[in-house]
Amino acid sequence: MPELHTKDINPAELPKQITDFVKGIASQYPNSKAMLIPTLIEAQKYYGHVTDEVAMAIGKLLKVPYGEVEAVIDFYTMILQKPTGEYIVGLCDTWNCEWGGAAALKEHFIAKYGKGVGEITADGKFTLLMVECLCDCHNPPSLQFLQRGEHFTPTWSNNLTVELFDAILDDLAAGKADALRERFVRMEKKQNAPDDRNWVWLVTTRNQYPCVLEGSGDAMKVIDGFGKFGDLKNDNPALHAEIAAAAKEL
Amino acid sequence: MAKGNPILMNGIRHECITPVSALDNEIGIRSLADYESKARYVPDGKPGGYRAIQHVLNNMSPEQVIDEVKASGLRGKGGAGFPTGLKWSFVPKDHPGPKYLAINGDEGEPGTFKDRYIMEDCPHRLIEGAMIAMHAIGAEQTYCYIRGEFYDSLRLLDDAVKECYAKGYLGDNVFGTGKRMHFQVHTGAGAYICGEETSMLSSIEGSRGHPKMKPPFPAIEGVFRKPTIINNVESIACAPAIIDAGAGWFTARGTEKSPGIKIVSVSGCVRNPGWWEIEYGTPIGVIVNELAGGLLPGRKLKGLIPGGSSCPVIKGEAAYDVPFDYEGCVAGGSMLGSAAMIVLDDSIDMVGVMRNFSKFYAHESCGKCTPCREGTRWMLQIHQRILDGGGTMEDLDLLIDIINGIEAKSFCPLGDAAAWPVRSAVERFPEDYIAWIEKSSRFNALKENGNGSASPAGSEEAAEVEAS
Repeated sequence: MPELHTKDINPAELPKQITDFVKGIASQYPNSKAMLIPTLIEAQKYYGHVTDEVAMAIGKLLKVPYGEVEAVIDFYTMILQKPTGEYIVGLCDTWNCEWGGAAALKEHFIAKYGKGVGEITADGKFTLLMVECLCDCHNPPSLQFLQRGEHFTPTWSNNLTVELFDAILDDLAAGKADALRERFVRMEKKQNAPDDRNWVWLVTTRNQYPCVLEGSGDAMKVIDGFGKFGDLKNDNPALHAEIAAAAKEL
Repeated sequence: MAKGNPILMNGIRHECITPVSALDNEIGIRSLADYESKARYVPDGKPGGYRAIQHVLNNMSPEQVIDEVKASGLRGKGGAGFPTGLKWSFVPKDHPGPKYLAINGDEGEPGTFKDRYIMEDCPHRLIEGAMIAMHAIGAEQTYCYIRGEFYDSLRLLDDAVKECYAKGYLGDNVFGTGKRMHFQVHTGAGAYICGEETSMLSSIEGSRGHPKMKPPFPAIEGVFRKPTIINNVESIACAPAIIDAGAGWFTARGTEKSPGIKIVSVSGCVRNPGWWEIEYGTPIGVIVNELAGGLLPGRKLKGLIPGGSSCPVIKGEAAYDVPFDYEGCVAGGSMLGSAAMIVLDDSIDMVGVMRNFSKFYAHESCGKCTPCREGTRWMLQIHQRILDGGGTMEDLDLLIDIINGIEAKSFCPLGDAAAWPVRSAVERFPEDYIAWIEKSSRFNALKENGNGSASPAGSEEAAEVEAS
């Protein structure tokens, strides 16, 4: 049941982030109702979720009847009506991710924190949400960490194992600066290697890359056509060390 | 089979053993390594540097652009495969306006990951394509609808748009020609149904994402009740290449009825899942075995879905011979769809796959029409019941009965999308269902005393979807 409105917000008192957003896009639309969904999303970035009062104020700002605002909020799953933890853990459980082990991640989260889907963990850090296909089906299981703040800051975390997921959650809870950095998952010899170089399929918590490894140990270089790993040793020394250690075993 | 043809693999230009002929890195949709550096995307007269749109603005009439795109045979890449040039020509020329271009970036079909990479890695190619389309149909405003979960795509495309406004590529005086062209990135908020074209228009208008009645078709009366052309991100991203290199470049590739190139995204039980730009007509076996590295060691192909979760499953290794184009996939018993290939090996239980798909469609059904709203939930409940050990042989007939009630009877294609894969699974893989049912206590109780007293097991998840 929706709660009774406790305190009305005057549309003029909405934060500048929201009013500026509306001013910025108004010229692109023939009427103000079209801005409703983007504005609600912007309000959610500011407040963390959309309360009835905020929805009412936005309705007044955009001259949309409250009933229609409520209908939209009710329809779209990304507009949250309840508060969340500092990080929203959006876990995909469509087939590819289910096959890749999404259920184990979900079970682990619930066992670790004793909180189900949509609930806030005791430390206020996390809320697990099951989301539909994130279109990252080649990296299952895939999830997106969304950090609340003035803007939602997204970080993809893919190809996860339960151990890596656990480590990332612990690092985030401990406030470690590089908690969401790219991590090494596994490495495989590549079939159909195009030449005689040391081609491997490198899987990290961001993506999968066909790569060539040159040298070994500290001097190892990771070469990919994209140049993403051009200066891996300096850009992400932790990942470089993880890959170097795994390359030894390969 | 020649060695050494360049193939773009996960955006990485990569040498690969493949019979697929070389795609021209200078002109293809995706020459990511080049376009990634945004500095290169300046009007420098080179392909990709907004050369096509300047050529169009200075030298081509809208009719000429439409004719060129028609001649290229470009077909919509979102799923239906409708010829893009023909679609553009449907906009009434004498309409006083405004007219709109709406780009569908609501990529949400399970298995698909292609538009995301265009929007994130070569956003300028999409913007240039939109400008060409706006010129062709006489629109001054584009809405690019991107699903809300794609925070990165939204931000990167928005940055690229701002860059274009700052440089005068977009705005009230495009390239100094006095033409108005505006581009607005519009965020969705988590509804798969908004990938259906009329639902997307409802969503842009600020309403619930419910599909609208056709006719009137959007080209006559679309968003804000004005003529609107709706194209997929990938289709629009092809336009600059067609103008740059001419329709002949496109028709020289692919098959006669499906000319050109397509991004295929391969996921599931393969060694190297990823996405590639291929020519239409490439055999599925080549895509799976040469590009995606083949199946996991010791596994055999059980089934393959060529076009995302809404297409029927092709059974067995016959799938390898199916040419990957619109006509070939239909002849092979499925559809090309969004070219999202999901590979299923012999370790996969088809009932589990269909339960998952049904759960997806039950959750994403918008609730407007009864066959889809109720039918998708019933399909989920039956699959869940079978997996919980409460299935009976009648469930197979019941599933087909429900599918007959959804297929072609729901308001928009979401119902069909939910029904087709399940029908193919029941008809082509009945042994998977029967294996579960023969283990079921309810089935055995019925068999023994002829009056099944066991009640179907309830499922938490089915109840959750039911409640939502």
